Amino acid sequence: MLETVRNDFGPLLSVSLSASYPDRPDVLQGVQFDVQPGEILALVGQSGCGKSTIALCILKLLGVKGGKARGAIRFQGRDLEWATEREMRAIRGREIAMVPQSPLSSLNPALRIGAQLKEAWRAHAEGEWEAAKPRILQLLESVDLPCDEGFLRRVPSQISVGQAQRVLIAMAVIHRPRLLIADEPTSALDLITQREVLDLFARLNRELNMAILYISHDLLSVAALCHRAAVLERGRIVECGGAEQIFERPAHPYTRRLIDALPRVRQPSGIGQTF
Amino acid sequence: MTTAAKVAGVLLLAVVATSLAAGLLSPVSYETQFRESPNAPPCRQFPLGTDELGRDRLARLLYGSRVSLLLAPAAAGLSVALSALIGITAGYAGGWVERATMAAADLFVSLPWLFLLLTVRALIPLNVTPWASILITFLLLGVLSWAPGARVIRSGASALKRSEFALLARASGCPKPRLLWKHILPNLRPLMAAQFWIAIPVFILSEANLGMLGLGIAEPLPSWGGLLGELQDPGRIAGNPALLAPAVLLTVFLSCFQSVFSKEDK
Amino acid sequence: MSFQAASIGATRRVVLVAALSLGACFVQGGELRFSIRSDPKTFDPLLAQDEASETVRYLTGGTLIRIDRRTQKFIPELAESWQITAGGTKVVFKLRQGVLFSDGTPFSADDVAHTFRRVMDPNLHSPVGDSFRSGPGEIKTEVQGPARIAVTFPAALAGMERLFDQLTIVSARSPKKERATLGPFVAGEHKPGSYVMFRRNPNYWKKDAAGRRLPYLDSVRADIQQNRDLELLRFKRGEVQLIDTLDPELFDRLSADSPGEARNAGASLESEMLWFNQVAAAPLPSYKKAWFRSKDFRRAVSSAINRGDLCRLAYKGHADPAAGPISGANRLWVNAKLTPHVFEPQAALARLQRGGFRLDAGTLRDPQGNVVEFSLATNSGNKTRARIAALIQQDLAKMGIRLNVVPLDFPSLIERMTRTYDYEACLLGLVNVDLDPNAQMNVWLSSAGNHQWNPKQKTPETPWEAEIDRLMLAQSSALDPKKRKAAFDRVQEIVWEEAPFLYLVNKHALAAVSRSVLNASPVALWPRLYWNPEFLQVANQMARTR
Ligand SMILES: Nc1ncnc2c1ncn2[C@@H]1O[C@H](COP(=O)(O)OP(=O)(O)O)[C@@H](O)[C@H]1O
Ligand SMILES: [Mg+2]
Repeated sequence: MLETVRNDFGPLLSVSLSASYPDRPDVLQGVQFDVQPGEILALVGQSGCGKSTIALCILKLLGVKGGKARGAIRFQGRDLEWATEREMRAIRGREIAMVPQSPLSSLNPALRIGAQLKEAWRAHAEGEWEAAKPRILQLLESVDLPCDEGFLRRVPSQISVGQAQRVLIAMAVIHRPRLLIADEPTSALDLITQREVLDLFARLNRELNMAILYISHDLLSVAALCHRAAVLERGRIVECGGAEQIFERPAHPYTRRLIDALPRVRQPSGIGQTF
Repeated sequence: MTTAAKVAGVLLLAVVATSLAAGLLSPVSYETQFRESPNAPPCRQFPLGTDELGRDRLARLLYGSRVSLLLAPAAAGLSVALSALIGITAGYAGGWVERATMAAADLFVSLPWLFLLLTVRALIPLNVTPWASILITFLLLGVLSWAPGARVIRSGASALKRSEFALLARASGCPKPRLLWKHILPNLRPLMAAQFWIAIPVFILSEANLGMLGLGIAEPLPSWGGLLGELQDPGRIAGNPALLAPAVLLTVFLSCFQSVFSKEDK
Repeated sequence: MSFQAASIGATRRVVLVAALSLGACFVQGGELRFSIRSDPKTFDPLLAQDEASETVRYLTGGTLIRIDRRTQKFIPELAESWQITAGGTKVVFKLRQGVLFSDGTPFSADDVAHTFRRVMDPNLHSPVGDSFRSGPGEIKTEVQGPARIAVTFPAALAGMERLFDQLTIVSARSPKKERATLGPFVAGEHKPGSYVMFRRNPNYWKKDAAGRRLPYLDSVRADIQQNRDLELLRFKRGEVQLIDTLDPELFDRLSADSPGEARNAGASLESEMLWFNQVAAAPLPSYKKAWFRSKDFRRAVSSAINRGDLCRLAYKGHADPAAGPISGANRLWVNAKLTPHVFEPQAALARLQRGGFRLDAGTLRDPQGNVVEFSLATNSGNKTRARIAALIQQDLAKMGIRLNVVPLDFPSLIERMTRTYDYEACLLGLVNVDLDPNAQMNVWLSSAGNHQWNPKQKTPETPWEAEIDRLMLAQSSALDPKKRKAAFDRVQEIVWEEAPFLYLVNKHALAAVSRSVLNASPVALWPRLYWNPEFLQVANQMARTR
């Protein structure tokens, strides 16, 4: 599953955004950050601070939720602001994929797992599904899902949350996107499964050179996975830097509060070492 | 398929087959008046007895089934298709299209139907053949009953449009028409099926009511609506339980239809 | 000219017969209950138009002359006698003396004069008043003493006595105005949608043969009940004691359950008829108009209809084949020589074939080769009429004629009949409440709006319609009843011969009378059951037996 690393110049994604919802004018206020090719950038912050909004902005899907975004999104050197819906459709799922926040409600209750995978595949692929199936089964195996036909025939109500989450991850990486936006992908999982998912991301990142925008309020997992982290507070990036640096020497009082709020299983200084 | 569904399927086939073969099964025509034996009780010659004019009730039931069984589901299908088309368009388009469509649906429901139907009757020539009259009737029933269904389906569609899985489908690059077809429509199927099931008996009975306006199924053609109408008078059922036959057949038909087709849904 | 002697004789006999028929069992007091269809729209007797208001008027009002519902003769009520003079333009009444209104005010000629003033007041818009307007000019009253009054009309009013049956005398002086009445009962509590109560009028003038004051009943309660099935149910439970109209099916069921309580009063004034659209301007193909305007076609269709089967199957035998516009129930005016068109399909077909129609492969074609097919419009929601239509459909099918039955809602049907003329044939019922042919002028005159088959003709389009016009006008101005009868008999003959209306059946008057009610005998005329309310008795626990 290896792919040659593309030697593009400049960041893979570069964002400078403001956004609003009809009843919430300043959800994002001049949020700026870059994601380098192959980099895992963490986006941390309290819930409600605008993380998912950023994810939707990048895919230009904020309108679906009734919001409006202003500002610039450059992806692979292209300004997405002027991209047509058609062009965006070609990017979504293939270049930039997303793992949504809530696993069960993100699967279509009326469709079998196989059909949902097929839909994700069909969005950017021509040809016979049957021919592509072995690869998809392999993909399922790589996310530790049962890769038999029986599993494909299940409907979402017949699988567990953890399985759902992994189905969603598998769906997101079908087309080997350059950038994966993972919106709190571990929030619904128990600790062991969480660990497995994090390993999976690390592997995908390594093997496919896939950049990941890892959205989380879980500092522990961030520390375990990410190269860099950006801290978001009420719609503003208050701190951005190497993950190590942020955990060891938080500059902003908000970051410090976030870190202090961690359960003190270990010393904050020790967390960085797991990375 | 479960055994129950199989049994239901066989019964259903039997009902449909007998009504289609009405001409073969029943030696007499639905319109022949045996004027010497009106209101006959069930006997060898007339297994379900005769009506006030001496017409064979069995023949009338079989022919009536043919009309109602074929046309009521067809009209129900038409109605649901229209509701779905309008409801989904509204729910999916959102914005002013949605508001305008729902205002139209409200208006449609509150329209003075009687007048519209009367106008329709006035436009149709008096000398239409009974079959043309039937077709017009069921077409009208199908076309005119879109509004309540469209409201239900609209709200379903708009909730589905805003759902997380629809968002994810968009985020995975699913084109809008495909999103509609593959993700939204399958979730609306139970809603549409419910509309369909409600519509069939309603249409069978409304056909009889339209008869009041000179639209329904005209003499001498029998229809279930007309046959069921005889049940309005409870005093007569006691005298002749054979009158219940259409009601029994309708119940059997509907429950079989439902158990066969709703099983296949899953 | 006068008929009073004969009439009074007849009345005495009726009262006597009624009194004798009481027999040994005699009950005073109690309450009689029956159902009416709707709330009365008015309690003012001069404004009554709907049936419920007319019921109120009949039970409470006193009139100068009554039509005896059983003998169909005029009987003196508040007028002891009357005399028609001056070529039928003047009537002099001798009034009964010592009569009091229900509130105790005495009745005199002034009240009659007042009643006429009021009923003819153009601002009141009284339907009764309209029926007295014989021509332009005033109606004058002349009080010739407390018990004598003369009424003069601007033009002769043939058969005027019957109009006085509708004219309730209202008090000139009573502070209670028209609530003070001269009839057997006074209107009491009215609970809209529920019932109207009537209490005994303690001052009612009539006495029975034994000298007892009438009415016998203490009260009458008219329940407002539209549903016929519920009405029958309540009858069976004893909650109402009379049902004035039963459909044949309910009648048969009641006769099976409790024979003796279901009462058939014979042919009623209601008939069913069918007619073809003969309007020249009707939006119909001209070949169809030619059929409908052909007497042979109409008579052939008439002879193809099996009227006996209509009676037997649509009415379960509770109807008679009809011969003409006047039902046998109208004893005075019916032309008894007429018999229903005979059912002879072969002769009917032959008649059509003589006119160039031909039957090939089971389909009748006219001389031009057009298929003989027409629609029969009728009002929807009437089961009996639907059956009649289905029977006629089969009868005509045997002649190769295709009949399409089209039930329409009543307003649409009327619209087609009277405005657009967009129909071919029509099946409807007809009730002649008024026995006198004068009440049918608006049907028979070719210029009339209700001349259904071809209304509002400027000049009569056919010689026979011209003759009907002449005869109807002649009878309306003739004062000799024999001449009137002769003219109207001829009208009936022409209608029989030309068949503009195909009369099908006369329904029977079917009613129900509880065993507890004494003296009730259903008649064809309205009000079928309580036409003699002062003589009705109810034997129940409430009543005191004397
Ligand atoms: N569709 C919406 N309409 C209005 N406000 C919204 C909508 N979605 C989210 N918000 C608000 O915007 C803020 C940011 O939401 P979100 O980006 O989902 O936060 P996070 O993902 O960081 O928890 C929250 O306060 C939320 O209440
Ligand atoms: Mg979120």
